[in-house]
This record gives sequence, structure tokens and C-alpha cells, in this order.
Amino acid sequence: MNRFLRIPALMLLLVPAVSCMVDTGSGSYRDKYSIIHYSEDIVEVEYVMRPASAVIIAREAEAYLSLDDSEREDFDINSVFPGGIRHIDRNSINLPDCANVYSYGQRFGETGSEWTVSLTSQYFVDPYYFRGQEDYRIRCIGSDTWMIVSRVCDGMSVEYDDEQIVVKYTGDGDGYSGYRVTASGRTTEDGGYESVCGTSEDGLELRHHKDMGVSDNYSAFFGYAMRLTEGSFGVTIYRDGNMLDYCSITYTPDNVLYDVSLE
Amino acid sequence: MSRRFVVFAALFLLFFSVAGFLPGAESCARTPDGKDKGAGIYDYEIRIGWGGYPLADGLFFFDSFPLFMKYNDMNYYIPSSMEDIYRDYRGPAYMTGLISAEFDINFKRWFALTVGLGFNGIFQNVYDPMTGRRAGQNSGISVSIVPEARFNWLNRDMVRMYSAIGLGLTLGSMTERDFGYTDLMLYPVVQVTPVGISVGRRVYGFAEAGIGTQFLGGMAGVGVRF
Repeated sequence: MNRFLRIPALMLLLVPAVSCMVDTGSGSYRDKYSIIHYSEDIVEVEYVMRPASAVIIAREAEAYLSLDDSEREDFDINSVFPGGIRHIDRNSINLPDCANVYSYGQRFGETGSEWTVSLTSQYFVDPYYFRGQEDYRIRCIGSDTWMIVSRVCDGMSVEYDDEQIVVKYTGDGDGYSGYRVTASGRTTEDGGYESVCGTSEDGLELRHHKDMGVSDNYSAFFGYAMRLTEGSFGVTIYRDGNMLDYCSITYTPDNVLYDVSLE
Repeated sequence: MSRRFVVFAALFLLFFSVAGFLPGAESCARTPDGKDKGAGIYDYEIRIGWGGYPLADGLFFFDSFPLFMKYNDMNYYIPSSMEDIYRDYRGPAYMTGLISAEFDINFKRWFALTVGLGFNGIFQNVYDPMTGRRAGQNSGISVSIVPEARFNWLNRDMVRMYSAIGLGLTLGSMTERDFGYTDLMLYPVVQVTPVGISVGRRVYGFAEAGIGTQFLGGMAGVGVRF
């Protein structure tokens, strides 16, 4: 080879040999923790925790909204809503940093009645995305039993099947009110992805702890005030009908157990 | 920095430094009275070189800076959708480093104007999260055009040392297969060569240090004067 051609030829050979690495890469996001996060922090919150919180807030607000004006003056509102309330109208109240409750003059415990609870607290799905206000339409379907009729969030409306999400009050315990939640659902995304979720047949036991010593409404109805203590919740993920992964979460009073398709 | 890179770089610089001592075409390298032309007599030069860390490309496409190369922390981002969980994931990203071609006009022994065209290749494999197999590649290229003013402050028969400053533009394009879009970037180039050396007469080798948005670090290559 002409000696002058050897030079650029050698340069070309050396380029791939010494190319510099500028990024180590992302690694796969498909791992056990992502599946658990998606199942517990996305799906379960959407189908269990947020709807249940809406029902519980409405049930607690009923104790105040059902009173006449003179009775309301004597009511210790801070014992129920430690962050106080503001009146929207006679049948509707605002719980600062938490929710708006609209009774439409109906009794929450009366079969067939419908209330709306707007959860105004921002829920951070992850560091980059939070849900805006969620408006839950709730209907009483029996004694201390309610179902979610619909949800409007970020401009999108979802109509639920009858008894797709049901919350039943089961009684008070030591410092808490007990509820049983049954739920099922299906979420689809672009790319042919679908997740199917549901509680075990007996549902999940949810305890609303009222002995938290908090001073704001959000802490009284979210976070550590709400604990799942019994039952299981499962999520199965599909793509184009083929199962990709699953996650089953089992709750006990002391522990949370995960069974995931990945190690 | 790996030992392999250091060995190749040393051989590379040594080779081109030696190449500068090889005799060029005899007729062009001699003055009318038969004496050799020195390094500073030729009107034009063409040179090609390679090296340096493409600073702006690394920053704009990968948020990466030399010595602080970005290590993706898996805990930093937790996907919140199925699409994000099952998206093809990225392996390490590489750049070729700047490959440049220049045409120089020597106005004076101490001053030259150059126009350089630079290329930097970018490539990164992506993998299927279900199988772990390679699913494709993210790739890109940036092309820069940089006019430079070069000042030769040492002119000997065989050796020239210089400094330079240039201003230009870079157009970069990166196709990200996993996200399905192409990034286009246009940004200015400010490039300073605090010191460079060329060794040879008509055919020479050169090495220089560079600081600027085009590249950071050392570049070496070969050139021809005519």
C-alpha cells in the first residue's frame, strides 16, 4: 500500500479501538422492584387506596353534614378533620389540603344516594408525575356499603362497572375504623400493554387510624393513617395477550409479602 | 483510562512524529537553488487528525462531562408505566472522538487561516428487557465547521509550534431507537488550541492540545504542505 495511504488507514483502524465511553447505559428497568412499584404504588393506589380514601372521607363528613345548624356549632370538627373545614355551601365542605365533599343534600348511608368527593391533594406517582384533582362519584348500595361509580382525573373520565370497586364499613377497633375493599380493574397502554388487577375474593381489610395525633387533613386520611392489614392484591401484565410478569401482594398486620415473577 | 488506550495513543503519536521525517516529493521540497524548503515556506496545507473528547456532544446528548462520566443510577428513575418498564434499555454509549480534516492557508510564517470539518460518531446498543439480546442501536453524528486563526510562534526547519483559536458551528443528530425520535442540535463552537506542534517538512505529523466545545484533550494527525 502506498505509504501515504497507510496513515489514514491506520487512523481508521484505531478509531473503534479507542472510542471513548460517554455513558454507562441505563440497564434494564424490568426488575422486581419496578414490578412491585407499578403494582403497589400505581395500580393498587388507583383501584384501592384512593377510592377507599374518598369513601372514608365522605363517611366522616356525613357525621357533620347530617347535622342541622345548631348541632353543627357544637360539633368538634377538629376531632374528625384536624385541619379544619371551610363551607362551600350548606351541603358541601372543603377540607383544606385534602378534599371537597358534595352531599347534594342526600344522606350518605341511604341506599341509592350519590355523593361526590374531589381529592384535591396532589398524589406523586413518581418524582416526575403527579395526579391532579380526582373527582369520585360514590353511590350507597346497601348498609354501610358503597361503590365507586366514576372518576374524573386530569380531564379523563372513567366509568366503573357495577360493584367493580366496593368499600364496606366493618366496624370500629382500638383507635381505628375498619373497612373491607374489593376491587378489580384493567389498564391498557400504547404498545399493546395491559395489566389486570384484583383483590382476593374476600377483599382487603383497610384500617383508618384516627389516633395519629396529626394536625392536617391530608395526614388524617392518607399515608400512615390508612393501612392494609389483611388480604391480597394481584397484578398481571400482558403484551398482545402474552403474559409478561405478575405481582401478588399479601397483607398481614405486621408485614407485607410480595410474590413476583422476577427474582 | 485503559492501558490499551495509552499504548495505542503513544504508538499513534510516535508513528506520526516519525512520519514527519520521511522525505516528501523531492522536487516540491526543494528551493530553486536545490536547498530543502523548511516548514514555513509552503502556501497551503491539508491535514487530517483524530482525538479529543467531543465536549458539547457529550454534554448535549448524554449530560456527560469528562472525568465525571454519567453513571446511570438505577434508583434514580423508577418507571411508572408498563411502557417504561418494558422499554428497550440502553447499553454503554461511545463516541469515536473528533475526526477532522483541515485546509490551511499560510499567509505569513507566523499566521495561517484554516477551515476545518469535524466529525464525531455516536453509537449505543439497545437491548430487549425480556431476552437481554441486542435489539438495535441508537446512533448519531455531529458535523462541525470551524474556521481558525493559527499563530506560529516557533518556526524551525523541521518543527513548528503554534496556538490557535476558532469559532464555528456544529450540527448534531442522534436517533434514539428506544424512544423513536431523532434529536437535532445546532450549537456554536469555540475552540482554543493553547499549544500544538508539527514535525516534518512537506509531510508532517502533528499533535495539539484543545480546549473548547468541539473537543477537549489531545489530537494528533498528519498533514501535507504544498
